[in-house]
Amino acid sequence: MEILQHFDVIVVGAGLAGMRAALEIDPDLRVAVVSKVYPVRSHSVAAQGGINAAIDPEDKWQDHAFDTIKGSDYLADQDAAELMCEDAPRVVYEMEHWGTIFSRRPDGRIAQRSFGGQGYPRACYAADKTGRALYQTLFEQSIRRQITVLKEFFVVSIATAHGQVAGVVCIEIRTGTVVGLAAKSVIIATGGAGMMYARTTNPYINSGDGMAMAYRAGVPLKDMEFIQFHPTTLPGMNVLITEGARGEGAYLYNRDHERFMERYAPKLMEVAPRDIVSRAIETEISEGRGFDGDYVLLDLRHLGENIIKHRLSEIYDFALTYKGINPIYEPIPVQPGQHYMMGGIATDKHGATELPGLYAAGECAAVSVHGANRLGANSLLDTLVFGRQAGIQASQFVRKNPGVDFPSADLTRQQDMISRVKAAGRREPYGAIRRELRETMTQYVGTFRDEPRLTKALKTVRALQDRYAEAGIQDQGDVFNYDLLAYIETGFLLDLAEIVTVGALARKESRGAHARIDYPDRDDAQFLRHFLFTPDGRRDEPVVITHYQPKERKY
Amino acid sequence: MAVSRTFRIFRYDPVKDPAPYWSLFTVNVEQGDSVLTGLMKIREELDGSLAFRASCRSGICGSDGMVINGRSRLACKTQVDDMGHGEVVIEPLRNLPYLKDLVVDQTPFWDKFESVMPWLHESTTEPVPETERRMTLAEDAFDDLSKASDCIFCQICYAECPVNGLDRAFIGPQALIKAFRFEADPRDVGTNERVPILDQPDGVWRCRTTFNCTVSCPKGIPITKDIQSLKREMVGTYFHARQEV
Repeated sequence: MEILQHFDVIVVGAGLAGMRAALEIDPDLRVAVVSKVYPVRSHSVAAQGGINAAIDPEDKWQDHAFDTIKGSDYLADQDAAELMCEDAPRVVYEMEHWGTIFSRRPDGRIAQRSFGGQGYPRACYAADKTGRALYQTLFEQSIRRQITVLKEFFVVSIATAHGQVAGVVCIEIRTGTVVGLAAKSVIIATGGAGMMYARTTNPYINSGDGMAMAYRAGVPLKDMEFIQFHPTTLPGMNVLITEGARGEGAYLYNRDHERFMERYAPKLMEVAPRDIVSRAIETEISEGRGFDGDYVLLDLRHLGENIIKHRLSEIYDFALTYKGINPIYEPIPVQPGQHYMMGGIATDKHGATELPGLYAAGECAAVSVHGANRLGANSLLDTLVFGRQAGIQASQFVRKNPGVDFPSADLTRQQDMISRVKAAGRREPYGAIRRELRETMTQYVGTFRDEPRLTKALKTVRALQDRYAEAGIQDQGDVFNYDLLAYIETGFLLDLAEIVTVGALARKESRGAHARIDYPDRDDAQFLRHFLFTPDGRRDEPVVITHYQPKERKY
Repeated sequence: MAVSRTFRIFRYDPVKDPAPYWSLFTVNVEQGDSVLTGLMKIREELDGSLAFRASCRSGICGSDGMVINGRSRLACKTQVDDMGHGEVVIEPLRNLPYLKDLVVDQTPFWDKFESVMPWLHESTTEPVPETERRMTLAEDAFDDLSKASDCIFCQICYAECPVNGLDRAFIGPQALIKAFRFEADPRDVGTNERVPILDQPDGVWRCRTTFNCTVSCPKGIPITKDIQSLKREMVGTYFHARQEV
């Protein structure tokens, strides 16, 4: 055990939001990015379709803001959505100047494509690898500026003292050493928690670490019941097939060869927002118009080889690699899969949480700009806008606050926990608990929800939590103990799954991605508000309305 | 339909083991399951101490490069069915020191990557980014640039390069493909700073065009070809400088 005292700001997570935050910290402050994986492994690199910005002279950021707010089913805080959309062109130009290789129009301008729920083709893209293109640029800038990155350090808790943040506790994966990183300010940028679902586009590492740590530190989580299911993922592994395919003009067909979106969103059809398309596909499947194996077809063939190979090169490769299907000649089987969490650590529009010194940005945060349903190509934007905001705020906080002593008892507590789970061994394997959790969430807290299913899910999750308390690990070593990591991640997921389910039960309405069969309508009178969860229970906050009065949401 | 398959895995724990050894595991895999799925099953169900890196499960994060049946591949992009009917034999990537089981020390790889100053060097006359900058490039040239930028840092080219195995000082294919990515970018003005690093016996010239990198790259980047473009650029720079004197 040791405490490192060298830092003013610790950024947890080295994805887009974390890297952008780190780049914004005043250069004379001591900052370190801490990540449980090497930087380029973060899931930001998996984003495919694009980043929205009203850069076309015919387009207006106010329209982007309206589309975002309507897409959110009016649960977004409108001041935050406006801040994001107004800042979007600057973000795109900045990334372009730093080196991002965007796809281009023939005249050299940045190419833009249609995306779900957008009234204008405003998703700037780099083929279907936009996340990788943006991420590599930030990674390159972090090398240029010699940002310290503590690689393969797994942060397990947020340390606090005297009501403010004191740093983080982590495990150095290579040695197993418990390390305290003392800091005046901490920025959480750890992404989502998709691993609580069996059918997910998320990677193994998305276990909601930052959200769970913040919650355990008493910081509220907001709107956790809103889970995005992406309409088009490959059945089986649920690898993402970009919305950009439909943005380029691909069709969705059921087994009767109907373009069924006609029944659900006659105007926008396949480029309706994700919640609507996912529900449409689920409905087709449950009413017997899907294919055996629960899927429908995404047809790209009419787009032609050139567009498929140039603008959709990654999904072309995915379909070939994982399904043996060449999308130039055959439609791709697709089904909805968990993709994104609109909820997260409650922050204001500058990334500040309720705990002095603690900030959050990216998917792990709920600002909230996505409300009840995020529009495609708004998440990359979110990471870059609010990552920067968090960096600015953390720098200011450090200048004004001397910091507090690191509570060394936190390290002892962590070390004791490790000893305990090693001693427990594998009588109750956490792997089985995680598998049951993921199946339960997919089956009962999915696209369509109702009281009986949610109640069943909550009961199961709580039973799993009890079993988890008795669980342990097999690996008794210290070096690269991935058994221990997975055990701790499972604990994070169980905490969060409970909150998601409790929120889904309490929200007796249908709004955005939260569709209750037993309460099919939106109920603004009772539920146009955010749910905030802490270990002490729930409290509600009003939604910030600026210019856009809630209306019925039709596409 | 699940079939039972045997995985033979390279094992080494620096704390306990005087030398590496093989472990055999038998697991059920479904048709289409990746090698990574098999490894995860082994770790979750049979041996929690098995160490390997993994994240995205779909060949985009570059975490799970390893030697599978003799060749370096991404475990998540390799299907068990394609590995014949015998044992699936798994070893850590070559040319990098192994730390535990399939986990290697990546430090030399990242150091070489950083040595080529892998960021866009801007012209000092370029305005502050408040407006859109245009970039025009012939379609072929743009495709070459875009393809070179597909690198996911999986280290497979580095591990498969025979020159890397013989000469630890060789900068290696991945650092060179990164240098190419910037040299091919019309917005970059860093050539004068990069040439002294690239134009060295252990820089571009050590590449012996064995094409192992190109053949093994999971993203299909024509690494060998791009390295030869850099060599041409070095020669061109040399003659260009002579003419100016």
